[in-house]
Amino acid sequence: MSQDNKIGSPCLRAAAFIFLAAGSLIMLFPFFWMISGSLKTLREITSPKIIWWPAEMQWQNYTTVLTMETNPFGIYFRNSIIVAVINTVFTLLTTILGAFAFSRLEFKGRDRLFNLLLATMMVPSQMYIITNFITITRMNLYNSLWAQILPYSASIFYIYLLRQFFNQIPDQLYLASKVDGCSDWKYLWKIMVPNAKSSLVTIGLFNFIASWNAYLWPLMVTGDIDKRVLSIGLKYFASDSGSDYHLMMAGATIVVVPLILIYLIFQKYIIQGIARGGLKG
Amino acid sequence: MKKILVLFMVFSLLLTSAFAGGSSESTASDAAKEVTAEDLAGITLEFWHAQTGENGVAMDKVVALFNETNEYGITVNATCQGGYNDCHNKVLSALSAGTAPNISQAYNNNMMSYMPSGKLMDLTDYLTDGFGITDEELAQVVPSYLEENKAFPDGRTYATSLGKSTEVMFYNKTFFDEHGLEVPTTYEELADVAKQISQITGRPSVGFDSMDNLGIYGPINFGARYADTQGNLYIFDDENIDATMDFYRWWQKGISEGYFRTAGEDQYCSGPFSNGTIIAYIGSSSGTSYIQPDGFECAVTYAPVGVNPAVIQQGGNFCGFTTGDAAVDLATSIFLEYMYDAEASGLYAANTGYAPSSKAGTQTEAYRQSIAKGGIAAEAKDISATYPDGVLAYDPVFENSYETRLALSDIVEAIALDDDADIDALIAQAERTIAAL
Repeated sequence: MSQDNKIGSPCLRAAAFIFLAAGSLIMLFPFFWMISGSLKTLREITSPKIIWWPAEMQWQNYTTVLTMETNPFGIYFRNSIIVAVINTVFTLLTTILGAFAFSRLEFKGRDRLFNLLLATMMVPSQMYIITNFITITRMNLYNSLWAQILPYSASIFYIYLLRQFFNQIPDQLYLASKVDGCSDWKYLWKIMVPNAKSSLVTIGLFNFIASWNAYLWPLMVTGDIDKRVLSIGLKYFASDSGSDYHLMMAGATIVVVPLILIYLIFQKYIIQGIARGGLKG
Repeated sequence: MKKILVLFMVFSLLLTSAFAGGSSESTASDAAKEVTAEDLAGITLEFWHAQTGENGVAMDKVVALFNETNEYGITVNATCQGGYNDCHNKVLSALSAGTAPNISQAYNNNMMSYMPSGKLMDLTDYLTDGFGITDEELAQVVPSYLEENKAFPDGRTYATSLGKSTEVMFYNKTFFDEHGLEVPTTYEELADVAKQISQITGRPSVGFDSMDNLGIYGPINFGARYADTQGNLYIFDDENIDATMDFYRWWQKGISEGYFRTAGEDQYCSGPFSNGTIIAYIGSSSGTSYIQPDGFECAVTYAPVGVNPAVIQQGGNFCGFTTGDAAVDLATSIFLEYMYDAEASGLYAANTGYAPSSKAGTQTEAYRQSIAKGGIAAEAKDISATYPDGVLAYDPVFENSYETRLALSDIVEAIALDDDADIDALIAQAERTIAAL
């Protein structure tokens, strides 16, 4: 934080601290409630009285979730990681190439094409889920991890965001590199991408979360348990006659841990990305 | 000359198509007749169901038993597709893509939306074709299950059932004994007991899990007729409106005097019942694993009924999809008929809270052992399996039957939220909603 941004008055500083602390508590409360719920008994978690913390911590909720043969969280975990990582890599690749093409390359109908692609954002995803399903089955990808990866490997929204960032890089830099004999490909990877690192980390993270949390599409395109992901595993604890909330919370905690770790690791870049590109979660 | 040639070609094409159509039809029909038990060997069927948790394990056992014991060598590959809505959405997409499974679990109103695809299997003739279920076994099936599975607009059978839960009444036996309360058997007694309990506890005492069920079966129990498979709604007509209004007033009184309640934010009444917030509730017999009494003895009994006793039988059924391959379709029908098998339904019931679809299922070793274990789950299941014929009821399926159900549910829900609600206005609103469907 620069010197100019510091709050001089101790009172204002204290007020800001209290305000931010309150905000943090509000943000952290759902996580606390999830973890607390994951250690409760079913009776405690459905109690009308607020039980902040279980009388006796039920660690077996986690063992139950992790050792169920009929709902193998280990396999789901592996699949979720494969799908989310590959999907994020593909998305970043298509986003970088798309954003560069629409911001730097000159070709006929570029802006019209871009506007046309932007317009597709107005179509709700539910509208094309059946079309995508038909495409995937005709490609013989039903019941595969690729079926979960490919349809979401390009996003016009992310391309739009990165294009806005690329547009901020001065033309002179591009022209100067051209004079030095630099190709478009080299310029993209040596100049543009390193400069957009924080935006790319943020986009990658958002995409990773979206892929990690996806439920309907992975369920639609998979038939076998060994091709399914964590979000589907959570559904196992709910039935039409009731729900095992304590196990669901334990499962949710397991699901959310990798996301928290990624946030912590890439925290610096996320803040930079938000500050520069105006990205919000 | 060119025109004549074109006309000749078109005529030839039409003639060829007509013959081809006729020929393939007769071939398919002949093939259906010619399929023998030997043709079924090695067929693998895809089965999508909506049973999660312990129910899913039980379903796997039933499928494994079929795979081990069916005399035809048919193999069924079963996979859970999430909840009923997930499974239904997936089937709809798969039908569009031409990749539907052979068998799916679904509610009958969802099966209506599979009909336009032309792939929903009509089981009527298969039930008596000599393959799969025998006439004696069919005679053992709970009559209301068979009726439900042909309660479609054309009266044909499109589904079979493996087991069903019913509504039952769970109550805090300790509380009832301590206060010398009689267990209610009628709606009238239920209101009286609920009022007495609420005077003691100072809060609503009897909960109703499903507003959807109450919206239909409440008026029926008061003597109203609901609807038929042609989509004719009787519940608000001149002959039935008095009974329907009697029910709404009965419900409104219970809410306004503070002795009835809904599950509300608890989603299911098992939670507030377990922790003693309510003393009794009417809910599904299959939800017993979620009842964990906190320091009291829980008991279960038949759901109280009105002057026209009707208790809903609930749970998804099973339908098949035609493939055009007569042998595969026959194999599909055999597995669907297997759902009515005594051993299969007994095994499923033994491992879940559902009553078996075959009355003979209650005599199987697996089922009897599960009942002998005792406990609330066994008692609830046994009650479900022993409702007298004629009491168990189901919703007829017609176009927009689900939306009609929701519109009626909205009325009881609105009364629960506002005990001063204008019932006439709510009925008018529901009628407008239904008319707009």
